Amino acid sequence: MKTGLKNIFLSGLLFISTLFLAYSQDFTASVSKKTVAAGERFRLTYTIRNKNVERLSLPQMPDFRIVGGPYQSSQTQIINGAYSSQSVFAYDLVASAPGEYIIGGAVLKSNGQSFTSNAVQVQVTQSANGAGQQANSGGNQSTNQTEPKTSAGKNDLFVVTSLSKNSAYPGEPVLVTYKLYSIYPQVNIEDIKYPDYKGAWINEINGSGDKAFSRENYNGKSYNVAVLQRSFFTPQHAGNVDVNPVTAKVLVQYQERSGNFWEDFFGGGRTRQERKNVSGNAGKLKVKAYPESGKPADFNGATGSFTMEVGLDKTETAVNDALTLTLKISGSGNISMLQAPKLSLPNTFEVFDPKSSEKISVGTDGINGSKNFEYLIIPRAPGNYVLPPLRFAYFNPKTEQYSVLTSDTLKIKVTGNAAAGLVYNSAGGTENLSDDIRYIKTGFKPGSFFDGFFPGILFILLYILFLAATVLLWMYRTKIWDLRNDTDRKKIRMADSVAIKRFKTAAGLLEAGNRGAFYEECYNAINQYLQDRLGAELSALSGQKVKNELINKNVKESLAEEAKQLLEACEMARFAPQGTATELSDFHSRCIRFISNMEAR
Amino acid sequence: MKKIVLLTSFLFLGILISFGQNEAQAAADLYNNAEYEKAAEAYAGLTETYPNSAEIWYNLGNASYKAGHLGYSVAAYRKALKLKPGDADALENLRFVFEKTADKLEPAAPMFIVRQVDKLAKYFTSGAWAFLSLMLALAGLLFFVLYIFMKNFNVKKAGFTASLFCWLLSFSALSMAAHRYYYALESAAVIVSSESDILAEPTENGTILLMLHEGATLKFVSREAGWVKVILPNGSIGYLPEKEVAII
Repeated sequence: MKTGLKNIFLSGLLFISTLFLAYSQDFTASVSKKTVAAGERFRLTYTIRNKNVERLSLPQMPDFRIVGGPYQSSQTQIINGAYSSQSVFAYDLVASAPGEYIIGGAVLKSNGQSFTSNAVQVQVTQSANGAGQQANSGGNQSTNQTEPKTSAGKNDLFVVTSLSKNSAYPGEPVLVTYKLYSIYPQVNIEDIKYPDYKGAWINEINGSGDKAFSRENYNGKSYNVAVLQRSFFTPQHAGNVDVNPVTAKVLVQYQERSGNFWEDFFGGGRTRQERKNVSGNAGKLKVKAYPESGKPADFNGATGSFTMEVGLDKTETAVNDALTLTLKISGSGNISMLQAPKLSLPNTFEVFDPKSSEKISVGTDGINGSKNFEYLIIPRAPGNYVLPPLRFAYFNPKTEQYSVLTSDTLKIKVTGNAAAGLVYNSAGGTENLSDDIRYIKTGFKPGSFFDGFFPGILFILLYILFLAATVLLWMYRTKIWDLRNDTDRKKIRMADSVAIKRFKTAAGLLEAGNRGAFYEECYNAINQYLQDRLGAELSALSGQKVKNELINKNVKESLAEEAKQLLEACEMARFAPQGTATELSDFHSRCIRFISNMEAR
Repeated sequence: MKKIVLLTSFLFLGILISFGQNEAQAAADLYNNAEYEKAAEAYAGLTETYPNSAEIWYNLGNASYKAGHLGYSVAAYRKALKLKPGDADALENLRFVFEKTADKLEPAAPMFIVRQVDKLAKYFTSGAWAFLSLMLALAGLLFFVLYIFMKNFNVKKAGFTASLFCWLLSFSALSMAAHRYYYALESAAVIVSSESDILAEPTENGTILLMLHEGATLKFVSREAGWVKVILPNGSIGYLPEKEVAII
């Protein structure tokens, strides 16, 4: 009813101003659209020609909200000495409810005169839905805008958290934009408190939060909008994650409407300032688990797209002389979270934990950069080594597939002596390598065939038998030798008496005149004696050979010569016995003397 | 008659070995199917039939460890090492299991190789050394017979030298056999109960000298009516109930 009355009044005012007021073509009002949807932005423009603007009072427009302006522009022209000027005041308006409205004339004060503009009629239709009117700010994707609570007071000032994606993999950066929406024309951001993020890395885009305000439509309303921060939110674990909103402390300024029509009509009312805490709702992000199919065993959470470079500072070094292996992983993705791939080297190398350094640039296109790992390696033994290639596995969230980067094989020549300098305890290096016992022995071995043989009774008996047999044999041999020695000694003992006995027989033969037999007896006596006495085999030997044999047996040469002569004499006389009885008797004495000389030697 | 006895004994040996083979395969299957408790029982049964098989003792050690019997596995590995000194697998597993025992009393590996002699002795079992020694003795005897009864001087000389040489080798082999035999004698007591009190006297109320855990190995002295006399690391004498230890 009140609105109806106001409309009638406004229509009346329009009529009156048309009739009575100095309505001038020099002060006109126009709208950009005659028909607008509720919540749609349109522009109300006042054009003033050839008039000095002292003050422009807008009509009361309770059904419209001023969401922008005044945008002021003026221009001055002098054509052929004729002076003309034009000033334009423009306001952006939004109608909140459908209906037919008349925007009344504005009042211009110029050089003490008042001018009133024409009234404008605006048809406001029902808005189809809010989406069509949402303006995009700065071309950034905002597919997941979280609406603030639509309670009356909160609608004026709130923070919207928007994510570039609804779902992501762990390690995949998601662009998060925090924007402050305000219906108040003047907002000073005094303080921003960023939330704590659990289980995520945050990389802020530098200079993104410039906090400059621009106009933007949101849910059919026009707001002053400032980007508080744009950053990359990199989740760490699978699951549903809340991206917590920022809270800001702001100072707002607005004109308080007094409710007095005339005061408002003429731009009255007081400017008020108020401090407010602003917050909004959390963004919802669904973090998917990494796919299990095709997942490399050494995958360590690297997500993005990367390239790898591997280098050695030198390929030839000496024992205990350190070298550095550099691994550079560059690309875009969760570079800060990359972990050093394990370097599997032969045991003769000591590898220290790698030093890492990273270079990151954060832009709207993502997190780009590189991470360097420096492995300090100390060779402990000389040789030519071919290092196994380094592997780096990552997950590409765009293709949703795993990739493995493999380096070339590296060759290292280590010179020098392993013993020089520190002695590397290889046992210490390998001791903890096994984490389980070795496998059982297959194949059946019942044990040795000889088990139980020692110290078994069979063994002992046989051994004693063999040992005893050997000892007995030894004893047997000794006995035989002893017996043999005994007969020899007896012969020596008996030699001279045998010889003497024989010479006695010879003497008997001599007396009987049997000369041949006498010499034979003498020969045999001497021969027998030499055999027994010296153990020499002398039978059928010539005198010379007997002599040599006797000299071999350490008999004096004179004695040996005597034996030779006696034997030769006997030999000769045996077959042709000669000489007188005295000569034979002398020969007999000579033989006996030889025997006694032999015995006496 | 002699032939029949020989054939029968060979047949019996063959049956025994094939029986053992099947048993061992069954135990290995149990082990592979991760039925370690049953595998340990099977191997323990086999050690009674074949007490001199280092392989079976080793496998018993593995199965015992997997079944969670640390003490029995230490005892079994030590037994395997007594039968086959220096076996790399047994040494490695004993060292591994030793790391898991609560009391680290002595080096994991039982010391055997100290001198060059020990290095040589480990190649054969005491029985094999004894057999070798016996064969050498026989050779010594035969060469001596040659020396005594052959007339030819060179043959006599060679026979005597060879006989002497064989006898010296035979005595060396005999000493190796004795060495291995004494090494394999009972010398260590391994605790098989999870905790065991070592008492100063062989009575229930004896003073507790020390409390040791499963797998700890002590020097064995003797068995005394249900008690085992051991030497503690500090040299003092202690007693343990016989059922709490395995003697190897």
